[in-house]
Amino acid sequence: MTTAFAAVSLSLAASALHADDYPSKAIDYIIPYNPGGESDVTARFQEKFWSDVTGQDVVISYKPGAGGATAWSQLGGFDADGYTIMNVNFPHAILQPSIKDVGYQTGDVTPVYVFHYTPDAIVVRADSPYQTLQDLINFATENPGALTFGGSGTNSANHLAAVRFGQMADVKVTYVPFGGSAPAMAAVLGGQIGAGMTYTTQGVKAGDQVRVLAIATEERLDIFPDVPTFKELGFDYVAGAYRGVTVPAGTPDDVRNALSVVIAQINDIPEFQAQMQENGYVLVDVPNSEMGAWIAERQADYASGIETLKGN
Amino acid sequence: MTRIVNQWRQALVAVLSIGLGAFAISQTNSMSELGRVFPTTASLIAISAGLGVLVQIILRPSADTVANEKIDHFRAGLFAATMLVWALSPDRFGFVPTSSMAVFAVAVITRREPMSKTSILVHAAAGVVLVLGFSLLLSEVLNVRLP
Amino acid sequence: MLDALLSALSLENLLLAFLGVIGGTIIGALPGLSATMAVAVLVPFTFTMDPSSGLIVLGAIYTGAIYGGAYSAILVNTPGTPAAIATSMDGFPMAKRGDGDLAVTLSCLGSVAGGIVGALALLFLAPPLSQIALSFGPVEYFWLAIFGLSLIATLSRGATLLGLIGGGIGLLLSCVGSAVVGGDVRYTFGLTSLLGGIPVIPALIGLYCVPVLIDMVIRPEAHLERRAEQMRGFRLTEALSLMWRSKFNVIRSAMIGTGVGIIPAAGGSVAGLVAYSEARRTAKTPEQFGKGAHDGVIASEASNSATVGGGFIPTLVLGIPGTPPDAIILGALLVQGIRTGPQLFTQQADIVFTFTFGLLIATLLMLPTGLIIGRYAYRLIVSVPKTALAPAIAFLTIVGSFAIEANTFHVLIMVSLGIIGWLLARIGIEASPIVLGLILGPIAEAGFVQGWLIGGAQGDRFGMFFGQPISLAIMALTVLTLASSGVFKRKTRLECST
Repeated sequence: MTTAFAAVSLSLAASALHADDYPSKAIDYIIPYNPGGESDVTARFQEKFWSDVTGQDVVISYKPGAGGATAWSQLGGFDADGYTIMNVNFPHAILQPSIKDVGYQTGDVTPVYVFHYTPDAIVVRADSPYQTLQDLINFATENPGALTFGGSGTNSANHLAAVRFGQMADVKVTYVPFGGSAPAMAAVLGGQIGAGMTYTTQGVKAGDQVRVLAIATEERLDIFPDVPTFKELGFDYVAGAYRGVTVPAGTPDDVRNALSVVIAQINDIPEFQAQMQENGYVLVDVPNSEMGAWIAERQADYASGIETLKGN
Repeated sequence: MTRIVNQWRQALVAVLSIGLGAFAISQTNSMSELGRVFPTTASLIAISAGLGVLVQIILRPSADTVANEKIDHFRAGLFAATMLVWALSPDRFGFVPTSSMAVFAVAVITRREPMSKTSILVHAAAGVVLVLGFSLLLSEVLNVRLP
Repeated sequence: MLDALLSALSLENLLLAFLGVIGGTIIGALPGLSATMAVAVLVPFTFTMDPSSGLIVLGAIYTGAIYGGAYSAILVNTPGTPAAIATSMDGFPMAKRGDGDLAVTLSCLGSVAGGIVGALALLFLAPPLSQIALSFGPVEYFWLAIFGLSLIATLSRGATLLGLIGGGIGLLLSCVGSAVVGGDVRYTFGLTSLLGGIPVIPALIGLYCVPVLIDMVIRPEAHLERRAEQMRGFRLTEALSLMWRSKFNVIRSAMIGTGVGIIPAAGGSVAGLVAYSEARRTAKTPEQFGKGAHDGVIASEASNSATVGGGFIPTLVLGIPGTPPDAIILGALLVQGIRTGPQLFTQQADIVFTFTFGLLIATLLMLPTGLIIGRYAYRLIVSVPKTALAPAIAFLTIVGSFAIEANTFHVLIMVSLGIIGWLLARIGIEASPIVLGLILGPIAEAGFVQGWLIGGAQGDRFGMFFGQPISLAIMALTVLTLASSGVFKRKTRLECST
């Protein structure tokens, strides 16, 4: 009873100390992947505006390993004061713990804001025989299992996308995991695999070396005016990798809200928006207050795909 | 560098290698079909190399009068222990204090002649400067958070 | 192009290149403090710079850091970066016999030569050469890794079986953690800290440096032999004439480095090992390799420095980073609003050319800075008493293994592997086979699994692995290397003393 009371008053004191002037010093921003990928690039975009918004710096570091699980399983070990924040990816943080014991549970990861997603995109080499998504589906229907989809990692967004595409189009495809989006794209460009199950961002990077067959957004993107969405093609499919910022589970609510506001403010800067959109990212705004419902919705959305992945 | 090796020791390593390989293979049951291929191959390499070493020793036992190089086991053990303690302590006692102590300890383990008081002071001071310098380099320039 | 050259030669850019090289060299020389880290720290500062100046300073740091790894490889047998593994194989024996100064100078000349070749390839041949990156698929990576692993047999000098035990241990260590390809969680014994696998750099530091430290502590004699005529300058003329005699080795190694640099996911360690292996295979006296052969140091350094320029080729042309530092620089480019891809060379050619000239200038600046810093590093190591040297190096191993990811568990891995490595070395199992297994294992496994999946989908697994020209060429080279090293010859007796 006394301990509980002490703990409560302590956390109240701590939050009183934090909330008004948060952040009052530099924040450590941990990327659970190798540099150069989408998580790194978007954090770097934010970094550029971070000190304008908060008056403090953000210091980016990398803790790669196990598709992000290394960093997320260490999240609880950091001080819950809002000065160590971490990038978090969905569906990864939902898929990994439901399929293997990876040292953390989805509930251990408590994002304060989800700020963008990279829509799933199917890309093929510019000289590929597949002109449209239908060409690809036809080939896969006639040759079950012969179509290879390259993507980043196992039990990742790309892996799930390949599985769900197979379910939607009722075809059998072979998913080939690579160590990241870049090597997967190299295999697409090199013609070693049939198509890339990747993100819009990779399509932007590869430019006219590739053709994007379909993207998993609600509406067409300005950067790909000629690329249809899955919805237009008759598949009710909007998905991708959602990226947010998480803090350790015990972080006080007012600090979480303060951080949530900071990231929302960066998301509102037109220059930031333009930079994100030019590179194929789609901004979303899921603030701290809506996070619980949003994650539950994601979990429901991924459920059938997870069952298939488990069966593999 | 001459390193003359006792065949008994080689036999021991061969047996350990076979054991390691066997253990690694026994763990592959829980792995997926493709995930099992590589550990199994690696284990088979360790096992067959170990068996090869044993066969060679049995077929061609060389005159086993190897003059073993004299090893200062005391210093080696002390050093290894220092390094282990060093690796385990920073989380509890902080990086700078543990490292300063450990740097000094390694100097003491390494020394052969008795040290004069000045020399002890110089070593201790140099150690602290080194540790502080690097701690600053890490925390201030390279943005690495020290425990 | 002339404008670009002039802009690269501006006072500001020259100064940035110079500072970048110095900073990079020093950071690279400290084991564990890597090029990746130096580049990552500097990225935010480049946001406010002119894009090409920012790129020049990042490129210069990167170049310097790759070279700096040679010092610790030569002087304390500790490759500070995986790229310098092959450098330590002959550099340290040279230093042991009192030729550390010559080895440092040779490594500097080799690096400059390699760096120039890499940068020239980036300047003139980037778009066509980028196709090399695309011709390397999973199967080619698999065979390339096997070629690298075959070095275990050639390196273990008459004790092939012991080398294979080491290789097997290394391969098993590389399986620890969650497999990127397949997602199996292997050999973690329930420790979440092991999920990410055995970290390579702490393992390198432990396996190479801790045994040297233990030897330093338990032996009464000095770490490196002091020769009477020891302070005889840079030994530059001697080194230059050695370089001239090895001109084919220099050119071949630089070309190998450029080529391997272009292949994403291979990087400096593979380049150094392949060039080293080729130098050994074609040498008149291959038995000298591993005992302090000049050509070993030259080959390794020329090739790993050439990977810098080579690695930028796929980064800039295809948007596919060749190495981890390239990946960070790619991110910095995006933030600067520069779009990589083939069009970069036509639409924003001025930035590319200014950067490339900057890289070239940084490489040239490495000559004086490298020689001078190297000389001081050598002097420091030979003249500091052991009671100060051993603690200082021990401290660096702790700092280096910690700093990579600010993780004390990595320090524990470094120390444990170091002690195991020392025990194994006493029986004749050296660090190199273990490290080769650890580094090349994942490349081989990913290539194998991907090739197996793709081959299965195409219904022709055999043709996948054995029916493609590049794979066949690498296989042939592997067999040739094994044959020339005498692995297939019957051994007369088991020995591991030399």
